[in-house]
Amino acid sequence: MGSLSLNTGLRALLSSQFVLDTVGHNLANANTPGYSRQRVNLSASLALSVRGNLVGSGVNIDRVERSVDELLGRRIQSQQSILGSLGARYRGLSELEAFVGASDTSSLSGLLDGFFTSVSDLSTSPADAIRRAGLVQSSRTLTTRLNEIGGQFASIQRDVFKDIGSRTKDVNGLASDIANLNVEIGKTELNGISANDLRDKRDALLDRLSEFVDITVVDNGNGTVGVLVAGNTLVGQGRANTMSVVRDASGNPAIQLSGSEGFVPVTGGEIGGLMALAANDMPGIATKFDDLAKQLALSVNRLHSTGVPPGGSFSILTGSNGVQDFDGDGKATDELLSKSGLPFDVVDGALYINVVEEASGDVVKSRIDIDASHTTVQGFLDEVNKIDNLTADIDASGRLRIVADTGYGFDFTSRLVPHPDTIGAFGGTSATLSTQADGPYSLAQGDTLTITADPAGAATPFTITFDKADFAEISQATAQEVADVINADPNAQANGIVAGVSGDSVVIKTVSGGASASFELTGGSSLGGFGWTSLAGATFTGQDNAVTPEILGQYTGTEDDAYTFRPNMDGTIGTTPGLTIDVLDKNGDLVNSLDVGSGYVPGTELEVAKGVSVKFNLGDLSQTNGDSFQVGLVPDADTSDVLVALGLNSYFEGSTASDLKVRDDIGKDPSLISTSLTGADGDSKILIDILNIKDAPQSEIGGASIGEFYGDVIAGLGFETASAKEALTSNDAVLQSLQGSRDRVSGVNVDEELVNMVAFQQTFQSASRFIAVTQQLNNELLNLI
Amino acid sequence: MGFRVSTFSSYRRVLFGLRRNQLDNARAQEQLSSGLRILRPSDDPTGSARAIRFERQIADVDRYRRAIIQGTATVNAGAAALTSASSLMVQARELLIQGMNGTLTGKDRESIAAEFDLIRTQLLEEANVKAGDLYVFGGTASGEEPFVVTDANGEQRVVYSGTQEDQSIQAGESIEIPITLAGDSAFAKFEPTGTYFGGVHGVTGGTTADQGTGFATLTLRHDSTNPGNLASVGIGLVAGGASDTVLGDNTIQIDATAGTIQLGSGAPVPLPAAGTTDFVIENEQGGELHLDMSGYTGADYSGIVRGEGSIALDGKTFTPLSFTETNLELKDDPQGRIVHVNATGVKSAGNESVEFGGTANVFDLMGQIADDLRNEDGLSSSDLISRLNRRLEELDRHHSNILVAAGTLGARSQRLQISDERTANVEVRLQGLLSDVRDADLAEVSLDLTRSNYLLQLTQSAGSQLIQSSLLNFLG
Repeated sequence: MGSLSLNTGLRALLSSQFVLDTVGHNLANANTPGYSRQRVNLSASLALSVRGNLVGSGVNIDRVERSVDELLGRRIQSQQSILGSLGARYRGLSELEAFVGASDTSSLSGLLDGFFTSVSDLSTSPADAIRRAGLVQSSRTLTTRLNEIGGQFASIQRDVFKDIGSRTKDVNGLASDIANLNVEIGKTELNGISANDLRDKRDALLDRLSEFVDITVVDNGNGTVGVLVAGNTLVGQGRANTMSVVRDASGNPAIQLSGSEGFVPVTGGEIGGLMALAANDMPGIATKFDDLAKQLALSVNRLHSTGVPPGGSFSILTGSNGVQDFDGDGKATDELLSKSGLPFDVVDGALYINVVEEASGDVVKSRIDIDASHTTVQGFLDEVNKIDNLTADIDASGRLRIVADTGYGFDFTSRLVPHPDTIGAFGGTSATLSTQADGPYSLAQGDTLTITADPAGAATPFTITFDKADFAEISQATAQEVADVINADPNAQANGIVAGVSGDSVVIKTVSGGASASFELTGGSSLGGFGWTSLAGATFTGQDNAVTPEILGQYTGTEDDAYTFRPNMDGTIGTTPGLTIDVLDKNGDLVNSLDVGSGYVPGTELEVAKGVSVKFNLGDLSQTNGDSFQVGLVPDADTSDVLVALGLNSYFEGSTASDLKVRDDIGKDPSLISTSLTGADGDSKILIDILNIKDAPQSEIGGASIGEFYGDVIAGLGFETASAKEALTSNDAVLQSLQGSRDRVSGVNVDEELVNMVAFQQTFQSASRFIAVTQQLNNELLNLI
Repeated sequence: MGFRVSTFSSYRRVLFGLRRNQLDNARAQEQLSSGLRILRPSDDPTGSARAIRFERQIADVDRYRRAIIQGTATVNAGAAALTSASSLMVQARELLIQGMNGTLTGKDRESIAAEFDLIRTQLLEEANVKAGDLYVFGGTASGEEPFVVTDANGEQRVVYSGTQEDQSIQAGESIEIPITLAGDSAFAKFEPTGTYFGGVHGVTGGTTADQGTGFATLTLRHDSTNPGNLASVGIGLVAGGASDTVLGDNTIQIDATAGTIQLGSGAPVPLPAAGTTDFVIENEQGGELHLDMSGYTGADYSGIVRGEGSIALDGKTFTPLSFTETNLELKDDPQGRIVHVNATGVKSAGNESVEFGGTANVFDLMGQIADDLRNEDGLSSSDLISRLNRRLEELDRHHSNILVAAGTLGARSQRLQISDERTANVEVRLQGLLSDVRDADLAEVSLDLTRSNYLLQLTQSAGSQLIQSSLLNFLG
């Protein structure tokens, strides 16, 4: 009995001491992160049978347990991953926001305003050198800022990549620590002891790991855990794989794990957040600034390329964008214009080129049709080279160059041609005859046309025969084809008869002019086709006073059109009563009827329509001869954007936020800024048009205006940042509450421990007392002996 | 044990609260010190988008106002110049009316002509007025003097070298206001009325219309004289008629009884003393016939003397005259002038002035008036007055054009002023809206700051009490 009681007392003493030690451990670790409260499980010892009765043998220490809720631990880890991801994204967005979102004059919005203000300032005095320099300066401030933003995106991208790299190092450190702990815990627990503190340590490491990546923890059952990242093993039982960051094909960061094939799609944790930032958020916003830069270049260049500087037309222009050899055959000229690597799209449309003869100021306007799916670079070059007095070629870097002959200039303005009747079909000095109807004409193989030049003199008639080989389709002979046949005829050449095209009608005329020039329409089977049957045998005579109509003004219409001018009778300008000139549009509808009869004083300006005016000087007009001329009306001289694509007479070079800049030679010489359609000092048409693009909807930026777009981008970024912050705050609260729950289970309450301490202090004291009493009883017994 | 509270989590909660309150506090301080409610777009994305829009609109309005200020200066300079021009026109009119007084001597007219020259120079200065660097009356060619003095056929002519289009400024969204004026509408408006001939040498208009502007000269040249039968009465030509200016068929009648000789419809004059070798007789147009009377037989005579001659416009190509032409075309190609004349009434050689009515600019008109006042064409007093009357009409036409132009500029000035006021109002309104969106409400922010301060203190004191309250304090 004595030993049993002593033993019971001893157990009570030892267990109390053990509990007190544990209390001390708990108290010591009350503020240790990741520490789980430990609890000593006590139980009553097995009872012993003493003389048929069962007697308790005191207390037993079963084990020391951690108070942990494993499930809660996992939830906290996944919440940490979410929070890590949100935090990384939020920090990245805030950095972007601070960079691009500053709301003051140095913001892009302020600089855009500054650019337009300079344009407006210049428009009040377009020739002023100081204002021109001012426009270049504010354009440069704007493009520099855009370049900075473009460059900043690249540098933030690089920083993000580095950040991810340094975090993978953290991950690798944690993973290898966890693997080591796995080994130690495994060893310790082989002996049946719970490795509480090592497990706490490992849990803390897992918590930290989950801040970097989203992990799945697998309990292997032998005290070790496996860690999976997106299904790929990061930590095995006793070994960790290495995580690294590389760039994928599109240059975005991607995660690799040793021992796993391909990229690991990390979505959570700081690494996941940074990856999303680099792959989605930043390119999304960077693209918007590229779009803005591209739209700005497109809109301004479209207008600028169709203007001229105060000096007037150009003698040479070189494009800023080169065409590229795409099919790799060594030459770039066989590429389609729309697919030759130009930064802007070439679309179906037309380009009008004016060639100006400097001495006389006469303008010849030529049209080049662009078919985006057929026109090649070479085809375009050929078309330009067909224009008299222009030469075009492609230089070594693929840039188009156009040069005008000495004494000529060229431009792409939509201005009106001042003297459109270049062949003198409208009351010129030569004897002329025009077809009354426009082509195409219905001719038959072998049709003839017989003409007698100078019928009063000794000339003999000559006959021109129309051969189907000279026509694409002889029953649909175009005016140009007919004229070409006549001009190629040796008899016509010998007799001084030439043909031309005015609008869509054929004009036959004498080379010489004046009242002595004449020819007779002698006959031929083609007369019917040209509507000349009634004129057979008629003689046409030249005159001394040529009517050279002069066109003035600026076309204000919005659609391509052509006005055809025809007299209503034969007569002399300003003299013949009732002489009027009918003006028809391209559909043949009457636009206006101009009275040039006896009340008209030659040289008086007459208004036609839509900003177009005309002046006639003294001379004879003939309706019988089919006198007419046509004026082409072009609201936009380049509907194909080919000028912008090639960078001919552009204002901005480049097409992205990083490379946009003012064209080099304009930067050096601001007098090259094309402000006008006419070259007049005070003509600010182009500038006023540029001002109007600010608030007009634009295609490249999703239908917003340039002015609005920046606000939209900033507001979008603001929304993203604000919502990231909101998500961060709410998820932080979730984490707080989860941690609170864990603390309720695993946290140390000092008061509770103190109560336990007091309790087991008393147990200890009572056990001591019990031992003393037992000893006393034993002594009593021994004294009996 | 479900309601355990761990000591550490109490500390953590205190920390969490402290941190949040400190953040609120810092934000309120930031707002208060910057005066702005939105410091970064994420503070209020919608608000910052609106703020950017308002800022943009304010920049637009600012731009319009700058353009308006520039435009107003130009328009006002133009209006002032036109006002001065108008008073110069009044002076010119008064002078011309003085000059039309038939009792004036040539000397008086000369002094008036000199004054005209002066007014013309002053008017030219007004027409070439500059506002800053801009010539107001050059249309879009505002960088060069719009009215340039050139030399045409030896005469000083003023040519308008500006354009027809006006230079505009943008004074509001899609509001363009022209600030310069095509000066020809004020000083050189083309309002043709027809061709006028000087009326000295009998040239009249043909049947076909004419073409040209301003003033031109027809030169009638005497080439030779056919004396008819004069030799039968012993009268010969002097030097083969080289000094004669008579043209066309003229009757010559010598009435020996009355002792008079008469050429055409000229006044009969007494026969000269016998033996006169160079006797000059004039017809009704002042065409001179030089006669050597030294061999005159003293008999009566009636016959035809014909002066052969040629005619040219501005001294270009001379065309021989048959004096039967009713529609002879004459050209001055460099000037683009074509006139058609009826030469049947031509009786004398000399310069016949041609005026393309309603086409001369005011400067050339004044120059011509000065010439007229000096009577360089040698007109009779009544012809001169009737010509000056036509000049007066022309002068009035120009004056009214100048007034119309002044009215146009006045209206533009008013439009600019209205635009300025409107944009100023818009700017104030936009500034107000921007301030509402972007600026911090100071009262509210102060209150926020006080409240967050108070909360912070409360958290701090509660936290310290929480930390102090432990069983330890009671365990002895």
